[in-house]
Amino acid sequence: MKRTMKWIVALSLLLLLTLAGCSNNEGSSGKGDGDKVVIRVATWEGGDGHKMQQEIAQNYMDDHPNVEIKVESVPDNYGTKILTQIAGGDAPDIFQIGDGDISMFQSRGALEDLTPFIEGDNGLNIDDFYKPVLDVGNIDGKYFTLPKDYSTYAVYYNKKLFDAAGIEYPTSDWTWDDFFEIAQKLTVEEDGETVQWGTNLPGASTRDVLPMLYGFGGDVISPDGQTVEGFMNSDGTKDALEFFNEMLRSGISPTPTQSEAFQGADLFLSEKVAMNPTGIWPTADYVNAGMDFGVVEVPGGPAAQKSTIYYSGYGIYSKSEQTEAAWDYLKYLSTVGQEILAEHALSAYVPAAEAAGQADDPHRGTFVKSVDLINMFPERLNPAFNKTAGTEFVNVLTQIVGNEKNASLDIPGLLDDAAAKGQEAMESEMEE
Amino acid sequence: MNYKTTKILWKTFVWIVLIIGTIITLVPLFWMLSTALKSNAEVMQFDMVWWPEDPKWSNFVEAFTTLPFGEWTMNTIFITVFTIIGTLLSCTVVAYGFARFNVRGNKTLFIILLSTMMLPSTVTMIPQFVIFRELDWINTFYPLIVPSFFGNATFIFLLRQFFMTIPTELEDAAKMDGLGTMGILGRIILPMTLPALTTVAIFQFNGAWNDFMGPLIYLSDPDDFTLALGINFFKGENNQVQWNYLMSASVISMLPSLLIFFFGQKYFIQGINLSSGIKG
Amino acid sequence: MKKKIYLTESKRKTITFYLLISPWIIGFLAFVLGPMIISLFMSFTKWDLLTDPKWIGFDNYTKMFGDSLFYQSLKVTFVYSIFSVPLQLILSLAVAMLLNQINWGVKVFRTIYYIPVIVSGVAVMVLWSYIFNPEIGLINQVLKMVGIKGPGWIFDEDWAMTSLVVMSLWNIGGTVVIWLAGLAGVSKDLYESATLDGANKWQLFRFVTLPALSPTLFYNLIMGVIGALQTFNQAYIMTDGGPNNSTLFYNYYLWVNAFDNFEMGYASAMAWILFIIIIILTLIIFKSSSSWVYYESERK
Repeated sequence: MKRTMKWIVALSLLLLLTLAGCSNNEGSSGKGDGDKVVIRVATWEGGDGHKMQQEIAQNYMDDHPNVEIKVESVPDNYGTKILTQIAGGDAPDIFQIGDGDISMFQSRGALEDLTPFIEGDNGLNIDDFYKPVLDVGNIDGKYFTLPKDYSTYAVYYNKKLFDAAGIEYPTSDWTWDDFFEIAQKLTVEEDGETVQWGTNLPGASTRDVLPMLYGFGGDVISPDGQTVEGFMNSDGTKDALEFFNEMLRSGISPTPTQSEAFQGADLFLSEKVAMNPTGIWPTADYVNAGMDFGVVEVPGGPAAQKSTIYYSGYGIYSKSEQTEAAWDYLKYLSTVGQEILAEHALSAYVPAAEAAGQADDPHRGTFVKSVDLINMFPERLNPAFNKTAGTEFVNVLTQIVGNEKNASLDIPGLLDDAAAKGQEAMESEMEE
Repeated sequence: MNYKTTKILWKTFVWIVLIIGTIITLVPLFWMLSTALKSNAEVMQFDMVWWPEDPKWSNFVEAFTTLPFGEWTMNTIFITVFTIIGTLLSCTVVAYGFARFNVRGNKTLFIILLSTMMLPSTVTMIPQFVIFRELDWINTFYPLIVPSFFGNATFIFLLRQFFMTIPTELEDAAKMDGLGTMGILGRIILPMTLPALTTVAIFQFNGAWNDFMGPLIYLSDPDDFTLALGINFFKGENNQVQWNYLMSASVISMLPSLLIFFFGQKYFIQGINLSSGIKG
Repeated sequence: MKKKIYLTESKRKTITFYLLISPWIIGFLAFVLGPMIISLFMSFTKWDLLTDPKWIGFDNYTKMFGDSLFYQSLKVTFVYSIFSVPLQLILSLAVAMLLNQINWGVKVFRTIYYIPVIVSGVAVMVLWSYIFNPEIGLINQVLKMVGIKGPGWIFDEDWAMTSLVVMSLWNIGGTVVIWLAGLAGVSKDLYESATLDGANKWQLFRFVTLPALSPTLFYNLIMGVIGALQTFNQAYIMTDGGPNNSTLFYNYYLWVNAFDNFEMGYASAMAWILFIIIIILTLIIFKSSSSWVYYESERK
């Protein structure tokens, strides 16, 4: 036994030394070989998305032998890792950022102002981009992120189910009332159980109900991002949510319990739902499944016809020590690189989008056209919104959506309350 | 009812209960396997498909050829083996100290040891990251391996409990024979607590093999990834997950844990023989 | 003369003790103590992770008293712990005892019961979401067969907690293994002599097995309490704390504050409150242990 112990100790010491040897070699590669500039790019995309990013990086490195691009892919827990790296002083030079976080990161000074680079000698022509998409990264006249990809909000409809019910396909000039009426016609019950729903209404997600609010002339925050009172509880918002509540209660959509219960399964794909209001993402699945479907703009309301945007962009970390080199790659990623990305997602870089035929695509085209219907979303207008007034608003949505027992709700009262509390919370958060 | 019928009835009861438990336990494994064998279309289906109509065994091949699983497996084995060695070496020694040397400070230090498990890691993660950055250990396996050589509170506690169940007579006798502290630990205590040591080794294997947060924070270069981290590459953009590939990879990556447990468990039984042998 | 030898003996014992535990002390000082102190310091600051922390004194702690979600998370966590810890302990011990009753196929059974521990988190998530699915899930399908309309499980505010407690019982493989290791250490001589004295099965369990297992029970109890009070994954992976905050576990709410709300200072304060709660509970169990934990080595 004593011998065995000795062996174990000796062996592990030996292994420990080998280990030390191994990672010493690795450690020195941190700054690259010789005078190579290393640019670290963080993305949350795994799978094919990651492969494309690798391809773009490789193309760039082929042209720039003195630069090494390291794509750091974090498909799970991206936020945790990035925040730990930033707080721990080891952040990547360029990182992907979701639309809801831009103003938060910007207001805390974590994002480099890109305007001087855009306007500089090695600059960009901003007219090459879809302006409403590019503007998501523009805060108070300065650019902080450039778009990687985006989506607007539109409605998928199953042509087969429409034909079967003898209903004409919706057109871009339809209204929320049309939407409701069609959805009711397409809801089929058998033996007291719904076997097909007219639509799949959004859950308690502010972004997903925004087009409806805008349609009725409502909003959740003022355009300058300072006030929620009078917006979150405006007549338009109240009307929109009353309408939303009416639609939910009418049984045209799976209840949240039902739809949440089917997470992972797409009810539109399995033809249990006839109209699906959402973003660009499932298009490829529907096409691959050989579905006969169309996409139409989001319905209009009594006040307007407005869509919303989902966006992911790239920004440069403000404490990066090589902003010049990082900018050069960011520019490449946002222009030339878009040619590769456009095969997969909507590109805000017009030449790439056109080369990929996105605007003319029978399905994707509607999403591109909807760019003109975009209204800016609240988290971008005020970094404190999500944590404060946004939470209050989601609470109201949760009560409406979760009201599966159809209790009577005082929606205007709830909204007045949420707006007052939200305003107060947002102001005290902004003071700090 | 005579003794024999009672015994048969009892055995039947035990078997029935164990088999019911087995079914409940095996459902997830079955589910993983069936998902792994589904086509992309079947994965997205609304109805619960228990077994795919046309099992696609090729998913396993595809899952493993699209990503560098060979490299990731080697990394995972490397880290796991070292942490097991580190854990066993450090935890036995430390636990022996806590179990047998009832001197001043023992109780206090032991409470401190336990208290290190009580603070949620969410708030210590960043300071720890800073320490390892200062040591220039980011993007190396060091932060994942080295701490295991300094003991793990859970396992020290577990081993201490087992060491304390061993009567001291044997050690007293060994001391008379002139055996030193390490000698007693190695020749008397460890053989008698083989079941507990096996348990620790198996737990540590599992912990290191499935560890996600550690590799996530400290490893950024895909060449350095472990299996638990790399598997997430089947999650594409917008949270679209290739469940069938993810599950095939998960099934394969859990096989080593299963095998280690299956073969490691014989030491539970040996442990009984050994300790009663010594006593007898 | 005699006294002097006794002193050196005690001193030598002390030195040996510190030498033996020195690996842990070094590791503790190098990797653990610093981060703990820093997190304590951070609990007195407002820190958004992106800019430097700002000292705000006890504000984070006073804020907790007015935070209804804080109370909710505390309640959720305690209710879960009170049910899941004892149930897990009893069930896992029962399984371990049953496994010790059979001779044939024991290896296979043990491995099977250990499977839940090694199945990856993602797989478990998808699986349980399906099992608990109100419409097409396994449980409700079975209930339907016997004519009962099942509840909404994790999607129903009133049932979500019950669902998670049920789920925790499935994940007892690790505890079973520790019980088995404990049972392996119970000397067969004790059983034999007790059987000769005419003890029945229950008496054997109550007066031989249980006392011999008490150090293992002590371990499982403390680890169970620490683990349950820090429950995180169920909320993070499966429920997001919902529906309507019915599964808003303390540790999950803490994490949300740290990484979703950018309130690391507040999260740190919450962490230290949890730390104090756990350490008080642990000390209570420790103090009580002298009356119910029997160590062979301390047998007089």
